[in-house]
Amino acid sequence: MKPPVITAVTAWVPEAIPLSRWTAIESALRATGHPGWDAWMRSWHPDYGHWLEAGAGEETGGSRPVHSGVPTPDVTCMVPVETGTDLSGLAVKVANALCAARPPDARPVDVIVFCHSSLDEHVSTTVAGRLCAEVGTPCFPFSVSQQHGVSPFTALRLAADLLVAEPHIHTILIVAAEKWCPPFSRMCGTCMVHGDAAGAMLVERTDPGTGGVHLLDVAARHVPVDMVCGDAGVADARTFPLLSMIDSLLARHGLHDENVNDVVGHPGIPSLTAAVSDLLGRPDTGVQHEDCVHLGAAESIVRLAQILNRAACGRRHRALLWGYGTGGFIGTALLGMHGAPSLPISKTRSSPSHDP
Amino acid sequence: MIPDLGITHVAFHLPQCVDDVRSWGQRTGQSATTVVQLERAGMRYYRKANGQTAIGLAASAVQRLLLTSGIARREVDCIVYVHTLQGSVAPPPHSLPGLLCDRFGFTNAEAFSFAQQHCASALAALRVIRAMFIARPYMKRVLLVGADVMPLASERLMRAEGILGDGAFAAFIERGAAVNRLLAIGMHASGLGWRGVLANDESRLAAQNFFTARSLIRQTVQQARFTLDDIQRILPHHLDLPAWHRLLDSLQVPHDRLFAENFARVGHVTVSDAFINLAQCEGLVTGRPLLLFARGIGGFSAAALLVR
Repeated sequence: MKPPVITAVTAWVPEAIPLSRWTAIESALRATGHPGWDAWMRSWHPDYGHWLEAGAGEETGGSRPVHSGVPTPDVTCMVPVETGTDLSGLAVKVANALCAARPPDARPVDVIVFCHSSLDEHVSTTVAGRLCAEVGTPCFPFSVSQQHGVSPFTALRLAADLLVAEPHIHTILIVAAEKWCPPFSRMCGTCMVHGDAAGAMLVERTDPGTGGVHLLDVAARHVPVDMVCGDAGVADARTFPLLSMIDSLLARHGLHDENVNDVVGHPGIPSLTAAVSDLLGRPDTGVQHEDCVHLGAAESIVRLAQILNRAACGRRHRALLWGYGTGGFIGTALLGMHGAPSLPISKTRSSPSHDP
Repeated sequence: MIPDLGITHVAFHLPQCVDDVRSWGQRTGQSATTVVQLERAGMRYYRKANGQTAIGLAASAVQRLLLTSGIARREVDCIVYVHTLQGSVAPPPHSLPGLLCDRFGFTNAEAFSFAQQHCASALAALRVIRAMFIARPYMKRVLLVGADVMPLASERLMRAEGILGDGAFAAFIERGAAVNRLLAIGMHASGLGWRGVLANDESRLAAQNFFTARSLIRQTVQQARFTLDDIQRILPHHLDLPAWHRLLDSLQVPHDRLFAENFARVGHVTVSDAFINLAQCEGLVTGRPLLLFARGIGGFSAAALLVR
């Protein structure tokens, strides 16, 4: 089977504000209460109280993880914060932008995959359902979550599986969005702060010879995190499995490090970035926002949109995406640009203060 | 299609604390009419977790599954965690399926959560799992786990259709299955009613749900080249027993084909109903098909046809 093709990508990153300003906004929001979530916050305490009280994102069961060389977010750190809409609104914004760029006779969307780690305004809502209702035709909508930054890698893998397994499926819409607001904290341990963002991409079964971003391979897995270490001399538990995953992925396609033109990873763990750069003999080319800011499930799609804006789509070009998720997740994807995409790749859209 | 893909082992866990709808109605200030309507819908008792969270219930179901199946932990290729309520997760950005991997030593497993089709999520996940098996020849075994806990007593009410109970299930889906082979999966999703209880669209969608269920059951059975007469049992979601009887009348299926014992015993255990019923339904005849059905608020329905 021909590899699936990513025919369109779009992303939205809201205006970045100083962390100190967010802290003031958050205090005001916390004071108003959150009827949709307060009962759950209380109910989580027996099992997760140590996390809820010590700060979200810790992985060491009490002791705080300190990654070698990680800049701790300070009050001047600039964080993208969405103030105009909720999580499902962010998801709809990018989905509609992407669908509006399709020709009127485009095939209907068969599958919608919504990726996220932050939660919507009320426990009973469904963002995947809203996306399905917005697209307007019955399809197969569902969410992939609880993998933090790795959900889009799993979504791409499942999209590829569905295209193999169900010949009538042609068009899959993957949407990722994150919006952090009380009672949930955007602070992730001591090393990272979550920013709000959204991204969408269309994965399609296309005719042979169609140009676009070919999904050559993708993988995601879980790594035990009970061995995550804070010493500067000890690698993050995800490092070796991630390097091994990248090695295997390149080997499966008979490629070497020099065959990859762009390497785009996640921020927040400099030791991981350095290890991948060492392996592939080139620096990470995707960094756009502050290294202590992570856009969660939206991170990889935002970065993909950024490199596609820069890449010359008329020539052969390969990109390796890698990412991680709190809780011990890693993912990689190998993409090949083959001529011009069948649909225009949307630019990364962001508020003026966050333009790349 | 993979001819021998099936649900080889199923286990479930229900919390020990049993409550009845009348006591619940008094405690939460429900009207006598509401309680009578719930009893007409088939509800009598339900289980409540009393402080346990979803991971505790899910872990108990997984533990039971591992004990009864004898499957080694390294032989699990993937964990798919399903749930109805957004809150049945680990506090974000943590991962409940990741924590299950750590707790049980599923060192070779992928792990992710499949959700947002509400109570239809478990059966809808079978479609993705089937695709994984078709596209990945190396994949031998997936662990499907579902759990939900409702910490707000007053929000257990599912209109007059049922009462939401706490519980969990775990099931192995494998190649080379000798029982419960998966013949067909059908689903319908409109996303209408995506705002859940904030919009309360379910009354408006009731008629649509009925017609959707009827056509979905017919299509799923036809997909596998069976007739409705061939179906030995229907394992339902535990909502609105009289509506199930009307649906069966409409399909000309005898009422005794419906496995209805658990409506009164456990209430509506969200994503777990069909799998609890699969574990408890006795007398299933080898070689004959059975149908699992689930509906999630928000406009989601799913059916799976198995052969014993």
